[in-house]
Amino acid sequence: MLENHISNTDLVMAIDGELPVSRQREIDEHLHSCWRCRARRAQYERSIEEFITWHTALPVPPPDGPMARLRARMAEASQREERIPVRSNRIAYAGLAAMAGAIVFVLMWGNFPSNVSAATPNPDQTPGMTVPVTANEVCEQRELDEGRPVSSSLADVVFSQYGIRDPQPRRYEVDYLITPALGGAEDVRNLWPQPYSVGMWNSRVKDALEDRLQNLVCTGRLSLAEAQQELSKNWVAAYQKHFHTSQPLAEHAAFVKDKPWE
Amino acid sequence: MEGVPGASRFEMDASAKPSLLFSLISWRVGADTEPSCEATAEAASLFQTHRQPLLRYLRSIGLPAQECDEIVQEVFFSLFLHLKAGKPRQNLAGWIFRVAHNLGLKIRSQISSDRLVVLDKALTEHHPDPQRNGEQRMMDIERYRRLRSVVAALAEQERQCLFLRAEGLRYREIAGVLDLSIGTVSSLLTRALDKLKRADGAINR
Repeated sequence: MLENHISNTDLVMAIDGELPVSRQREIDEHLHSCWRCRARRAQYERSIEEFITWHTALPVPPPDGPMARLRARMAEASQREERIPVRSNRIAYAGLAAMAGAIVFVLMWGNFPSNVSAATPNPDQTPGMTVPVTANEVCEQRELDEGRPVSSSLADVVFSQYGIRDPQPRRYEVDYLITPALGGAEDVRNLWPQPYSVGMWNSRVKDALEDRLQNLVCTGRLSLAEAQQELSKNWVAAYQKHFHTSQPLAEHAAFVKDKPWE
Repeated sequence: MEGVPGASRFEMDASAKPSLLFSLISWRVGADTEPSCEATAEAASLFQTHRQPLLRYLRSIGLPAQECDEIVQEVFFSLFLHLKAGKPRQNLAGWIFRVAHNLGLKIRSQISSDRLVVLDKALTEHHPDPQRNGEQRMMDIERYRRLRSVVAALAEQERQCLFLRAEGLRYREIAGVLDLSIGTVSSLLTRALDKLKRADGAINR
C-alpha cells in the first residue's frame, strides 16, 4: 500500500516540467504505481486543457494596423536619430536622469517661510512659463524632457526669491510648476521650492498629477494648453478634479518618482 | 518663451497620433553605431509573435481594449529602443511581459473606474470555435460560462499566474514578471488549478 502521495504543488510542477530531475524521477516512479495520484494528475491536465481552450478563444483584432503604426514609429525614431547623431549620447544621459526622475535639490539649509503656501507657489514669482512645443512633440520627446535637472545656480536664485536661507537637504524640491514633460520652461518664473513632505499636498502628489495629465494629453483627451493652464493656475484643484478626491490618494502621498537629492 | 495664459499656440496638433505616456517607459538611449534596421526587424518579428498573447494578458487584468492596444504599442516601441541600444537579449519574452504588466497596472490605476472594464465583461468575449456544430457550441458556451465565473473569482495573483502560464511563460519568467519567488508562483498556480479542478469536478459529478 502506498503512503506519502504526491503533493498538489509537486504534481502541478511535474506536469509543467519545473522539478529537478531527481525529484521528477521519484514522482514518475510513484505515478507508475499509484492510480490515485495518476487520477489527480489527469484532473489537473483536464482543467488545464479546458482553461487553455477557453483562453485562446478570446478574439484579438488583426495585427496589420498596429504593426504599420509600430513600423512608422520605429522609422521616425531612426530618422530622428540620424539627424541628430551628435546629441544622442547626451540624450541617453538625460533619459537616464529622467528615469531616476531627478529634479535637483539644492544643498542649502533653512526653513520654509510661513507666508508661502506649502502647496502652491507665489503666483507673482512663479506664474508658470512654457516653451513653444506641440503636444505631438511633447509626447514623442517625453523621455528627453522629464526630470530635466535644474542647475544649481538657477535653484539658488529660486530659493533666494522665496526668501529661503539654508534650505534643508531632502526637504525641498526645486520643482517646475509646469513640468518640462508638458512644455514647461527652465525659467525662474516656472520654478519654486516645493516642500517634499510638508502638508499633504506635497511634491509626490504633484508628480502623480503630472503623470496623469501627460497621459491625458498624449491620449488626446486634454489639450496641451489646458494641461499647462491647470498646472499653473492651481495644481491642487487640478489634482482634485482629475482624481475625483478632495484629499491626496494614499498611493500618491507615498509615490516617489523623483529621487531625493542629498 | 511664452506665459501660460496666452498659450493658444500650444494647442494640440490635430495630426498628432494619440500615444500613452508612461513615466516608467524606457528611455531613448543613443546607439549611433547600432544599425536601426536590425532592431526594427527583430522588434517587428517579436511583435508578430507576442502581440496576441500580450493583448490577452492585458485584457485579463481588466483593461479596456483601447488601452491594451496602446500599451502593446509602447511595449514594442520600448523593445525596439532596447534592442537598438544593444541591451541584453536574453529572455525577451519575459522582458516584454514584465514591461506590459507594469505599464498595465500603472494605467489601470490612472484611468477612471467607469472606463475600466469589469473583469467579468472582459471574460465574456470568448467565442466558441465556429467549426463546431450547434450542439457542441452550446456545450462550449456553457463550459465558458462556468470557467468565466471560476476565473473571475480567483485572487488577482492566482489569475495573473494562470494567464501568464497559459501564454507559455515558465515559473522563473512568471516570477520575474510579477516580482514573486518561484515557490510563490508554484503555490499560486496550484491554488488556481485546484479551484478550476474543483469546479470541473462539481459539474461532472
